Amino acid sequence: MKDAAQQQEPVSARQTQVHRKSSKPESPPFIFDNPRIQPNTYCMVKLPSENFRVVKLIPNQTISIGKFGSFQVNDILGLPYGYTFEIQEDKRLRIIQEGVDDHDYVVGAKGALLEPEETNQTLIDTSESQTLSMAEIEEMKKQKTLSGKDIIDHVIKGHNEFHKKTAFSKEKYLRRKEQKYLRRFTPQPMCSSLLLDFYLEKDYKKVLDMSQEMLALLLSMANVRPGGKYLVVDETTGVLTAALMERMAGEGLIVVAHENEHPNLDALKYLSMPTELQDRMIKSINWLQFFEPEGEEEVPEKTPEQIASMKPRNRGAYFRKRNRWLELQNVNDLVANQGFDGLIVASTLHPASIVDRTLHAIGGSRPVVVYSEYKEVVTEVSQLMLKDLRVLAPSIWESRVRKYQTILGRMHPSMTSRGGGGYLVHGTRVFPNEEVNATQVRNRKRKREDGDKTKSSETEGKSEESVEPDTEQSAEPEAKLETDADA
Amino acid sequence: MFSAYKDTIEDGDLVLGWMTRTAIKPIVVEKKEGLFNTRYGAFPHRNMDKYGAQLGSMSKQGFIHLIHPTPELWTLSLPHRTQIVYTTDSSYIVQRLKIRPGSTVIESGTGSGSFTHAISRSAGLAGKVYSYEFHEERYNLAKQEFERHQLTNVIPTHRDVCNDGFDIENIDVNATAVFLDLPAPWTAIPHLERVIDRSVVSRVCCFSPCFEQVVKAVQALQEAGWVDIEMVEVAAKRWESRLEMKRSLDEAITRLRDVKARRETGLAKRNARIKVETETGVEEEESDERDAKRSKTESGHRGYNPWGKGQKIKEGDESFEWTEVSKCEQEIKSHTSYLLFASRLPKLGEEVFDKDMCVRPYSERCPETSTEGAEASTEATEAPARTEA
Repeated sequence: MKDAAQQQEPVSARQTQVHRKSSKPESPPFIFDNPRIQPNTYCMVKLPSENFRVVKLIPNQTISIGKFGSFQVNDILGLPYGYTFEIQEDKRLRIIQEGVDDHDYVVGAKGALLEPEETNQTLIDTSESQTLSMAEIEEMKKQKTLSGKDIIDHVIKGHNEFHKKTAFSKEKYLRRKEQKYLRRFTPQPMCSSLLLDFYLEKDYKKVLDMSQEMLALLLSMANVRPGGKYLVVDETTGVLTAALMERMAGEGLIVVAHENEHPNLDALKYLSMPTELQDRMIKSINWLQFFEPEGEEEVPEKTPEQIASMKPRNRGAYFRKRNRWLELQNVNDLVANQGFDGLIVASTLHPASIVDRTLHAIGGSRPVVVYSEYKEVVTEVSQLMLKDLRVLAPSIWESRVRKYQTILGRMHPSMTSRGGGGYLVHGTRVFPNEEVNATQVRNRKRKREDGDKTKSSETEGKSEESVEPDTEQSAEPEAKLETDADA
Repeated sequence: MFSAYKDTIEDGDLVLGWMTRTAIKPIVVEKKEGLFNTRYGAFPHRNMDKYGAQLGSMSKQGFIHLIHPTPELWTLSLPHRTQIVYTTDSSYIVQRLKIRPGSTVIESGTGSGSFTHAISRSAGLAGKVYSYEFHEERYNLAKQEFERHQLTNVIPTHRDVCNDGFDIENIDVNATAVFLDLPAPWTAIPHLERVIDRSVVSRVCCFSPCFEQVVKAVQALQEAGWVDIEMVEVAAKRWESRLEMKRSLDEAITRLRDVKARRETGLAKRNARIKVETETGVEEEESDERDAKRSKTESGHRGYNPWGKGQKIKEGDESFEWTEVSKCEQEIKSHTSYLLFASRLPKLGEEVFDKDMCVRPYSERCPETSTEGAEASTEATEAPARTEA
């Protein structure tokens, strides 16, 4: 094996060349976590019903949030994310302040502790308890002068048995009414975590049912950081790539290998990143180009004179093609020289084959991480890694977050939550030493012969290594399976 | 070391000597004299050239792998001074607190410095990690370690933050992410106001093993104006892939049939022999039985043996059929700590509101900036820049 570090010299030289050509004069760096609401960006609007919408904030437009009303985009531009707004009768927005605008006008409702003597013994809650009719409530909703809070006030006053409810059930009742009547919304900045929420709601297949905690674990296990060069197979509509972009902040390279003409990275648009940044950091290559680079037609460099004599339209096409070709060469150089700092796979294309066929492109001691919705799939990858001496210590991880209702006096785990979330397998790319492994096999054979002479009885089912005197000897390649497994 | 990968191992580099999953030892390479002695053999540092290499011992009897440190692998190999934050917790915390390149992070206490490595990596060279530790010896050890590992973005401070707060002389801390791994986080929370960046959203995570601690912390957070307070728990499991032999019912029946047949022939032979013996009065040598015994010691088993009973079978032996299965680790960490998250929203300027405390439209708040001009270049298609040949 040749020294990758030495071979990389020309690569980096070529890389800078490509970058210089494709990047514009220095523009201010893109801020991933812009604290203020920016025009023409996407934004997640959270609603009282705990649902959400993803909207593009185009100046001078009105955004409708269904039964909760509508608001003017201009009204929230430049404000920080995270505040909750209430839509007033005249369409103006009022900022809700926690602790001030809550429903604590009902004495003892919010924050009250459950008293042991408090019971609902005398409560007779039937459909008769509410004296307001449906039509009357509907009428109130149509009256522009009544706020959501006003309606809830009326509904509570119309409820004969409300005062007999326990504080606990009063609060629950209020929350249900708030979800129905409050004309409130909370803008949140788009990020990889919210993108997962968004796609899980829409169609979980689009992100392979990946949970936030599994994405987080994947990013840590893959050691994603600024300046890294990652080989990525992303079938999460680009959410994975978006998460990498967040963690790399404009430094490094993401090579997305894909099975179609173009990779599907639709989710990236929601982060509203400049095209220049995406073009500079994300390079795509299809599997044919990856494995048969010689099949790509070269776009030879033209002399300045030739370029000058071209029509402007052709010139543009030439630069595009030439750049694309140089990019491909750059990726091929990385592949050929173990130039990647990690292999990250979240794909339905047989992941075990992907790992087997792309490992050679990954640098020494770099992480290999494969995510799948299914444990069976990562199990297969793990088996492959156990047999493959180019991977050290594969292990399968599952992480599940349990959320709690976090209200003092009534803390408990959420009654329902999403199942699933996926699994990942992590291993470290290593370079097997042929000489060492050959010696080990020889030693092993000798040991086996010795063992046969001294030991006559073997327990059924127990594997050979487990009864040999030096089980600890990790240094035996064939013992890899057992020694690795006992950790 | 922790902020970028290297391929070649040089003097002074940190290498994790990987023996087994539970035996990973940090080595600081001294090519001239260094010797890494293990029960798997001796490994002179001068032979350590390349990260990822499998290195044979001097006697060629054993080997280790030379692994590049990462925060996660460091967590597995570090000298424990306190309970550490495990990767499944730490990764989730980093994601929820939005620790990204350029972030300013507060961590208290430093402890074994394991999570500090992860935060330092994620905050990048453009970020800053203020790490506070009240135990002097732990602080000194951590400080040395951060220096050795060149975590240049980490600023360790010896301090009891619960009593003395987070302020650092002549420094505007301005943190946007705070991690509190303290026995009494509620005493530290009021001090945060002075050191968080009030122009943006700040996020905090309190890491406490007991419910009572969480309750007190929730109270303190509410009083200090933090919102979106949520407690979660991370439950993690590790699995290993195994192979389970496929043993079919038909083969079991065939084997039983074989056992039965052999018993019957054995019985018939024995009866025939007894008959001959009683007739002749001469005892015959039980040659068949002895043959059978001998064959048992050689092949390990007699008769039809579809699953290698009595033989040494390696998991995955190709002469048998296997099912891929997964087995959960024997002991799981069923509780590490509760993770309590909250956000502190930025201060709003007076210019935001009108007399009714309603939001004034953008044109009134920022009359000088046109919204059209601020357009992000999402739609802009890029014409290739000109080359300079």
